[in-house]
Amino acid sequence: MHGRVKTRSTAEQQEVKRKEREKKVKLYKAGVEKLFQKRDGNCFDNEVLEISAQLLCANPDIYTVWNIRRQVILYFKTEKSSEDFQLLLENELPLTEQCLRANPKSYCAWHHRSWVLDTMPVPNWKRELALCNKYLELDERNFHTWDYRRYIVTRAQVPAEDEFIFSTQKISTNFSNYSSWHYRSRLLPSLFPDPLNKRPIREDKHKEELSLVQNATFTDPNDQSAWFYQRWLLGRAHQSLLLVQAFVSEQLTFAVLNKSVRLDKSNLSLQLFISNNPIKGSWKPCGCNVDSHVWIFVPENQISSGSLTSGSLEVTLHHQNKQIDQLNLHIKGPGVEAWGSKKPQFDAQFSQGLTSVLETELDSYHQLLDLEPDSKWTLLTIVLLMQAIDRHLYKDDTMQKIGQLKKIDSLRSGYYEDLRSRYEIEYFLDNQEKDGLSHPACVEVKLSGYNLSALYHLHYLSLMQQVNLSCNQLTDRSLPQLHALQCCQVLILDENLLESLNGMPSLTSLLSLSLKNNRISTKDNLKHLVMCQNLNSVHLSGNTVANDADLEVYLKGLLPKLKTEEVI
Amino acid sequence: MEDDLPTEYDVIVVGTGMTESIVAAAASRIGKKVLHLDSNEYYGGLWASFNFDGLQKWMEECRQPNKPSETVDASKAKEGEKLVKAGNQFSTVSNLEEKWYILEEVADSPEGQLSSKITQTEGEEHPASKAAVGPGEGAASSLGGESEKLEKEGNCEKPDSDEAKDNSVLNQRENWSQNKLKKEYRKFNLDLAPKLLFARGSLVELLISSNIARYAEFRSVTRVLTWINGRLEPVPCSRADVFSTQNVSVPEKRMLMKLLSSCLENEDANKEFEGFEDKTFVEYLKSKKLTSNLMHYVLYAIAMATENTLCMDGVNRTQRFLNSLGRYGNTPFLWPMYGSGEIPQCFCRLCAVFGGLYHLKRAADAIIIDANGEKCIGIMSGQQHLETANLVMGVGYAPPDFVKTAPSGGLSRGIFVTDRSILPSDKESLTLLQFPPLDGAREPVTVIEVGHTTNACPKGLYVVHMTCKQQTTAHEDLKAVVEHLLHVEFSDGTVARIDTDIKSTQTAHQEGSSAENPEGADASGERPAALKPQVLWSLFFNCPETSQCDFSADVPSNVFLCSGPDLDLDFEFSVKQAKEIFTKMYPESEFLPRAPDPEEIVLEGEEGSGEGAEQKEGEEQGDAQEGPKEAQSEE
Repeated sequence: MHGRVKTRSTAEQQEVKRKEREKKVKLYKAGVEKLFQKRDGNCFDNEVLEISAQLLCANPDIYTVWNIRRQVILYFKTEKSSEDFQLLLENELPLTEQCLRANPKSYCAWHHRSWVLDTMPVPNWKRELALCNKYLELDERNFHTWDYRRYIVTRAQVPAEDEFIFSTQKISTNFSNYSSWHYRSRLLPSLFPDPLNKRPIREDKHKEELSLVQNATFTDPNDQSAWFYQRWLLGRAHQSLLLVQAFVSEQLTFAVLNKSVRLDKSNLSLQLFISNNPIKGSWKPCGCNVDSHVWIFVPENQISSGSLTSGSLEVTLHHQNKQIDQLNLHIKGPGVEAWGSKKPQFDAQFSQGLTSVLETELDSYHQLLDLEPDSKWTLLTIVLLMQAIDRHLYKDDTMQKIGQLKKIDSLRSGYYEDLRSRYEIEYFLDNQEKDGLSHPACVEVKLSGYNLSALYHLHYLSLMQQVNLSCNQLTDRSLPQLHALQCCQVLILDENLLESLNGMPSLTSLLSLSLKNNRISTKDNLKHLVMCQNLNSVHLSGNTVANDADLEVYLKGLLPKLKTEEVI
Repeated sequence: MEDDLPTEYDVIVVGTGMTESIVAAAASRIGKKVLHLDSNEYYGGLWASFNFDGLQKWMEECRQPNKPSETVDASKAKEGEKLVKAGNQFSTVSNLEEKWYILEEVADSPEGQLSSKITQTEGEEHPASKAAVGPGEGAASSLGGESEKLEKEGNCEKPDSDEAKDNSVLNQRENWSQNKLKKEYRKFNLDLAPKLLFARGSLVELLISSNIARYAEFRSVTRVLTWINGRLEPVPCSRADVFSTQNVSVPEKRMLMKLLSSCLENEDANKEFEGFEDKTFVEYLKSKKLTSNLMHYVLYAIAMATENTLCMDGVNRTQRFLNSLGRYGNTPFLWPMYGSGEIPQCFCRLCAVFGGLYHLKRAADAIIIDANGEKCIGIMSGQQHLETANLVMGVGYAPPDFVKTAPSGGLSRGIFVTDRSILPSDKESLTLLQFPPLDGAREPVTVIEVGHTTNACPKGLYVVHMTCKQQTTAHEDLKAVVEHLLHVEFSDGTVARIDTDIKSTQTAHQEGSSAENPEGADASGERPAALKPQVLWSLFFNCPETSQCDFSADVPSNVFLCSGPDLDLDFEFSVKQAKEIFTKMYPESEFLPRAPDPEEIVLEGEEGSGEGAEQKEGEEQGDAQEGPKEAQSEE
């Protein structure tokens, strides 16, 4: 056995490791026990610090131990001189560093470090900043470090310019960095705001950033971090909140906004005026969420039909007591109802300058598409650009590209289907006659045969009395969207993929619901019909549940107004 | 006079070159009794790295005529044995040319200079004085008087204030003299055979798998340059480079990335290269409609090929480059700290740890062959008769009879100590430049520039290595490239050189300082054209290239010859050769299995206790930090 060095066998090594681990567990458990005892006895001393430090080095993710530690430190704050207290806190820093070495994504350790610095009499922000930079060299994508860095930067009052340079550096070493791109989107608007308020940032910088993103997307079209940033850059200009529809009758009063909002939390309020008199009452979100497009008015005293005959009706929208929009209502006939409506607006409202930038972008990405015909991000970006530039010009192209996306990225075909459905509905709403949607006529709105997989913008149909959504691909998940159809009396959902009515909102105007040729199999799946108490006819032929002998009895139990001959 | 060595071995290895050292380590590692000799007083033979003083001694030896052959004392041979005298035919270095370009001593006053006698140049023409230099080539720099003239003749603008400032900084550069440089001799590590390691090349993998990596330290090469349109340009080779560079347009970026990824894909899986089997790589690149500068990057800098390289060969070379990207740094290459000569020594160290016996300054004077001439019995070393089952020897020591086919080629080498980088940047760079064949006829030249952070030279200086296939003499072969990159005229340090380089405006794209200065997106793109480095000292030499020789034909069956340095960038050839030799000697044994770490070694009296292992933990960590580290952790 000349020259052979005797080495420990793996089994031997494992045994040694096992024993070591056992010993560690024992020590650990004893430490925890001791620590808790001391805390229970309000015994805040150096030993607590020592024990907790050892425990945290072994496992930095026990919140309780960190909390005990902070308790002790705060106790010492009153006991020690300022110098000694500073020293004590400075010793916390190496501890957190050690913990972060064990787990660079330990929420507790990062949090403790920022607490220490905020508690410290004389914090050294420069040193912290340097430390962050070092960490980000080791792992440029650790969002904990980025988060902590932003905290340091705020405290140290580092100029945004410096931070912008830093972000650029990080992106040039590895542009696959969500944190750094995101950081730019936070820095740029404050550094280079657009004086015209038409773009997210000043024109020259905007062009620079778009070109930077282009460099990234052309280098690696499969890296989504750059595409995400690009979406921010191309994001449509901020759309202001508008009051788009309103309806007043003795039984039902509601207002419709162009965005789904939560009135109370955003300092928004609605007010109904009849003959210039404000009507007392409260506004409730329609549907089951706290925010909504459609807000229902619950008056303190019922609105009398007599009040609808005289004078003007008006709904106003206020933000922090300042009126931001208003809608005048037309009175249909004495004592019946009143309504008002504005035309929906789906075109992106960009300035001429920005539109030309988008057109240049579109050209470039067509070029990229020639090189990479199967790049999904390129295709999707082209779709978004076309929609932003001219929705009507690019209608066919948009639909064709979405079809292509469904094929090459079949895992997300549902997403693309929904996107297509949204565009289809937008085109449909655009094409309605000028006043087609603005009064509760008995004309049927026929959103039928579009293969819609999801429903969007239904709040623009809130005044409609007959809505036909047949021959689509709608599933149960679309049902909550129907909440906006507050005036709807006849709703046709034939030839869809509904399996149940779970999620059916309360529709008080609804009299007739047609569900022919869906996939509803059991009576139990119909129980949510109870939400629409005024239904007098339900059509269920073409569903397995229609064969159920007890169906009629069951439905009558649910819906008192149901007419026998109308259950088919 | 000589130490008495044990007289019986499993393997005697003669020469401490790369292949020899790997074989020695591998044999020792599996428990074989190894004797490793080298007649020199240093390790590595033609693979060695020297400090400045050591290199001077080496040159002196090279200049001496071959020692008169000592007659081998035939009486030492036992009955039935023949003695064959060891040779030195393939270790001969030729065309050695050393030159200084600075004063022996810095004079106190500008007068009283030019006292040095070795500084006489051969009256080389300076490119600046040649009318033939085309406007785009603008690589001329010269002394003050000439430059003024050039500036007037050429259409270049007055240097702006930035440039002027830059020049004034340059003027404050340290003034080096020969004596001053010699005084710093310890700070040099100059390689006879400079080699880079591909980050996923066979040597790096071997260093890791055998655990020899802990004996070595590396730095990653920071940039790959190329010579294009008459100037140096960083080659975008990594994803980050491609993203940042402003030398290629956005669509070109996609083309480049696309080409590189199609080269990386498995050949069987795609029909990408169908029909190009017999065509050249250039033809394939042309079929991809690459723009001319992309073609240049891929062909010369990434594939490191020439116009004659066959398609699949080019693809393989590209793959080799790309596969090594992203492991340790921004480029695919590692450079050994303290020079390439460290690497054979790492293997020697492992050999010694496992009981190999070392003796430098001890030659194998003769090889003992059995009566039939079929088997080697051992060697005569000094007065000793040493027996061995296998003999491994560097080709330099091989008796002429063993190698009847003389090596066909040689290497042309140039080493230059300069005062600045060939392409200055903010941080010290470690540069690889594959200089494309000039005017088609010449060979491509491998240029490696290293600075003081690799311990190649004192701070403020750079060492430039040039290597190419020998055609005439090293000086002649490298002359053109030297003139393009370096200022090779005598300088007494009193006249400041003024930059006359005219920035090339031929390229359509904005000239970029991007690679060095990624945040410089808002810079005007105008970089003061750099002054060529002043050469302080240079050395040219030729040595034989023996990797193509057939070593098996004329040797006894248990004698294995090892090649000297080859032309390739990496040590791959040596690793392959060593493995082959080892497998022939010990077909059943594993080649360099992982060597245990210190804490895995059971010392006397600590059997079974965990304490000892714990104590050694610190030591282990210290060791581990020296080895190549895995690339940064990903999220």
